[in-house]
Amino acid sequence: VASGSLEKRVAKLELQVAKLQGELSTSPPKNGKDWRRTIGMFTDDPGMQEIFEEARKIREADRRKTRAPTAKRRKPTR
Amino acid sequence: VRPTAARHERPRRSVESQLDDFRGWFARHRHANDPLGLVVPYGRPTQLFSFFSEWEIARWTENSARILSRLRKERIRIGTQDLQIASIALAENALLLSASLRDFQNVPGLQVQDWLHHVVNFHTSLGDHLQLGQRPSSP
Repeated sequence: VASGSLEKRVAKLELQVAKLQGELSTSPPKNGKDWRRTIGMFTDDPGMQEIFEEARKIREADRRKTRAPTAKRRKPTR
Repeated sequence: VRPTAARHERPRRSVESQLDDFRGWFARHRHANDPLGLVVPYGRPTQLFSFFSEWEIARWTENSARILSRLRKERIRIGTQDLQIASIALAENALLLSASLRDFQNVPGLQVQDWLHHVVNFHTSLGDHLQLGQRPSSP
């Protein structure tokens, strides 16, 4: 096989592989779920934003509880 | 999402993040007693289910539980919910995406990054935890 021909075949293969990789990265999963459909789902929904804000507060409260110093007050020594 | 994200894996949400949204719903509407006023709020969980139906959920497993026990023994001081999420991510060998790096960075071995600020108009429920199935092979 002439080297020029081989190079062309390799280049063609590389192009096909790149195309397949691109398809793999953008195609929705086979189970029908596609998280991209949820993008912007609640953007203009203030009611839902309130719910998420409540959830965020709960999570933050959980964090604060852990961050708070736990050192107990020592009893005064006599 | 950055192309690098799409190249590696499909993102997932942890079951703990999923529960967060429902906790938020209960907190917001537990005191509501006006029947007419409940029409819209009672539709919200349906919307949340619809949202989650498009996501793969990273579940709580026996391995997650074992990791949580280990982290507790190591006295990793982050919130209980965050610790559970970290345990799921470690059990799944996942890259955790979160806006709360301050806490998650305290967990040894956990790979966490904050990409959310790079994502335009991307409203997940909390805008919080996404997980990729596998860590990238190189940092």
